[in-house]
Amino acid sequence: MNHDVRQQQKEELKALGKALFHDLKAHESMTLTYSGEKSLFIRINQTKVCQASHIDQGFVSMDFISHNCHTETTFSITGQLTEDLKRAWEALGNCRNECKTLPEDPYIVLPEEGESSDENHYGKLAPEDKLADILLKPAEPCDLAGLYAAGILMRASMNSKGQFHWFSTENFYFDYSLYTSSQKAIKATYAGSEWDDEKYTASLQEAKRRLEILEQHPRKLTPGKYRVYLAPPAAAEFLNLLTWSGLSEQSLRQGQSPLKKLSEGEMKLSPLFSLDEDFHLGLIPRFNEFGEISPLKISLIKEGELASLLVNKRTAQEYSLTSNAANISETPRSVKVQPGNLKESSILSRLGTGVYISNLHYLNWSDLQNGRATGMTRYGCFWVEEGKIVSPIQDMRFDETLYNVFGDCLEDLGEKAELIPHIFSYGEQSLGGTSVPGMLLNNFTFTL
Amino acid sequence: MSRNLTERLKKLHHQADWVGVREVKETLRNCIARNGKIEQNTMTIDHGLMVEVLVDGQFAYCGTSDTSTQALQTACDRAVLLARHMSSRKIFPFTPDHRPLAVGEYHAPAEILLNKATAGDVAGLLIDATQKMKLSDKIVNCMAHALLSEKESTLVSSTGSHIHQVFSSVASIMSATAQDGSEIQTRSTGVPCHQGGLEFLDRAVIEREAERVGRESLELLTAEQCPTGVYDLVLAPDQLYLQVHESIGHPLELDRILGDERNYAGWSFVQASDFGKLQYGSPLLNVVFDPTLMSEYASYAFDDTGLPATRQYLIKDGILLRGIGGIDSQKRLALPGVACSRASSWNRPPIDRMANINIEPGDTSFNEMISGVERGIYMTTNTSWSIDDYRNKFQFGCEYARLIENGKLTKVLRNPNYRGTTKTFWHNLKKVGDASTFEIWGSPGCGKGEPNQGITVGHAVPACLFGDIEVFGGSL
Ligand SMILES: [Zn+2]
Repeated sequence: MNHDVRQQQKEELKALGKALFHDLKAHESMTLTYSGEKSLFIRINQTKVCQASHIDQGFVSMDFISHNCHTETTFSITGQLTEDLKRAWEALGNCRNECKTLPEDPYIVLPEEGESSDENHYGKLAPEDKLADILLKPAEPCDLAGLYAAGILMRASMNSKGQFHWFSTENFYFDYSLYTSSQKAIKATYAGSEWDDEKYTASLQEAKRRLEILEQHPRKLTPGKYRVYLAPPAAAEFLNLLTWSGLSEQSLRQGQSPLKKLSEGEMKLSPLFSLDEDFHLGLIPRFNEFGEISPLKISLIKEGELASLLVNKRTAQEYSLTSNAANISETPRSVKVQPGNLKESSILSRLGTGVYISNLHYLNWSDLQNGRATGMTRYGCFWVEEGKIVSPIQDMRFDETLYNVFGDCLEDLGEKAELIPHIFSYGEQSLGGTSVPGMLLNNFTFTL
Repeated sequence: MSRNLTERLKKLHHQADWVGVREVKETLRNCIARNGKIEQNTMTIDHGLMVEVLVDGQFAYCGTSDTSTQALQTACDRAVLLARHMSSRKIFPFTPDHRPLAVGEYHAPAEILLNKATAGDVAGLLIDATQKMKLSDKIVNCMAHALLSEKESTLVSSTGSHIHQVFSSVASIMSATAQDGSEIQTRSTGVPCHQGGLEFLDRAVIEREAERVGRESLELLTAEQCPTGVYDLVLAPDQLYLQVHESIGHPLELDRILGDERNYAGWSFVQASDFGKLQYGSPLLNVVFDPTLMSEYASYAFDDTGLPATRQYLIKDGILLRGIGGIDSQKRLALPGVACSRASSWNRPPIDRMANINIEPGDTSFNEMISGVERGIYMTTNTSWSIDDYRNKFQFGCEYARLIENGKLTKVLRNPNYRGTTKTFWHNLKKVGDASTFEIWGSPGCGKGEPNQGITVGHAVPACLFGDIEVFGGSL
């Protein structure tokens, strides 16, 4: 049945595109980008259902070029061709009118012919009628808060030169946290494409085990420099900040990159640190808004040095560069950090005396040009003495440069990377994830 | 939009105890110019329906971008089924009384309608602004961005509610980045945002502001680094609004206090028992929830559950009185709240949101405030923000600062930052600016909720003086 839903949507889009492209004049061209989902969201608090919603949505972005003018209209679609054509003709009318009034765009990117693609991932989701019990019964009597999200996510891109890309996937995640009576918490995520009660129970058991340590009285640390271990979800938070604008050619050119000093060779990162855009993870389509297919792997930082930045077609036009099929915002879509030599079993002994940080929260640049960021520890963070967990800590604020975190202070990375799925859902569910190992650091600065 | 949503609702077949339908259509123009050229012009037309049902004490939702009659019936059926499936584990037994009958209208006043400007008019204005900013070759990047929204929302219910609200709003930002050798500084206008029309994209104001940010970006290149130490701190409204947002608005949200947000946005140091008792800040601190202030970004007459919106004190003379929670949180906590259940669009259920949270003006003029400071810093325009999940330990960065020496504004300072903890900070409030310092600010994208929702908030605040604040600059 799910198969039918996707096929139907794909065929509807093709028909929509065909009608629109057929209507274009010689001086006009068009790229259509589609993003749709059929999602179920269940919000949990106190191990009870707080809010539950089904969302069925689709949006088409019409990127329209007339002579050297360029505009875009995005509209919601219904999946019913007659109604969607009505909306599409309206959007086309709007684009044509706007192009008459807009100045020329000097960096226009014309659609091109190219290979097409069709990628589908199928899953097996838990049945809705039993879901409340499936999620909550094994968690009892713990206090659990979280979000279960599941459904079919679809993306497409097609242009008036005949290119058509399609991607669909069916998956779920249960992003949750468990709480002690004194409100200390452990965070966990169980995600995948086939729901498995046993795997879920195992995830819960591990979280419950870690929760026990949190029952002890938290230690208050004084500001200063500490040895710390950033568990993979914490390392992923720092990476998300770094990759938000750090690997973008346009943000570097516009003076908004935290990696300016790295790009100019003034600063270096650790030779232990290598970061790739790696689509082997298969979580997200390789095609971008321009219809280009990204290479399967792009080395971005290699052994502490900048290997390449992400360049999209528009930036390439502006600065006479070659595009590497980056997306419009030049953010990596599938980050993979190379693992190191730190064995899982020796994390605490290698940390020695310091802080085990499970999660970080609310990161922001405190000095962008110098790559300095601030943020907070969150959830299960522990004080470790001579390789043994002693107690949880009270949350601390850090203020530290990326040149220390991924450079001078980096002692080692975990030998196994963990996949941290992207679970943002502003407007729509996001795709992709970050593959990252834990990171062992010395001299990490807490300020408050 | 549907001609008669009430009739459409009446025709639905269902076995729910209560049904509401909210239809939303938003037309959003997003235009960006950079270095004298157009960078982006996009129009988004987002239209859909959200059905909310109550079955066996459980609310459930189904949203769809298909606005047809058949899709509306399907959405209703799926919501009913979902509510039934979840009701055995409901967090609270809701009743139809929790969606009281309401009928009314709201139209955000717009002096000049947004459709009076073409895409080319808006682009032209922004392109000119980027050229005004470029006062020197040292200015390497000039950007101007405008966000124009027209939004219409209709909410009807099976008990006869009918609310129709029309919003028009404008937000903008202009920024100039200057470079001299390895020193790079960006100065911007912040993000002025208002309900209203094209009067908030006035050419004379835009051009004047463009020149100012260009000039001040150059000043920052040669400015001294902000010193490190404990200082008196005067915050301009374009920084203070975000301090209010993060360290008063969010911790007072009742859904955070209930723990609904623990897994994402976070919790709060405020507890349900604190209302009516907690001394949140100095007696000079008066904070209101005010969705009625003309032209503020998040004004409205009814929230998305149909509660009529009225002005309420949240903090009076420094004492915490009331939380920011809509009807569902009010019932769950048995506490008073405000009309603030809002959804980012048709595709998300309403949750507790800030709307307009304002500090009432005091009686100190800006000059009096500065002249009373022996050794201090005046900071303007937020550039960085971070706070912990209980809303205690914060850190903010601003774009531009001035040293205050013996009652006078002196040198320009670059990379100003400050940090502290919420209650201590608000207890250190020493002076509150008068009405002449009062400015309307806000944000187009406050994020919280699972699934996530970004929404407009408004914050109108005067300039304020705080004592003994930990201040510091950039890396050396
Ligand atoms: Zn916010």
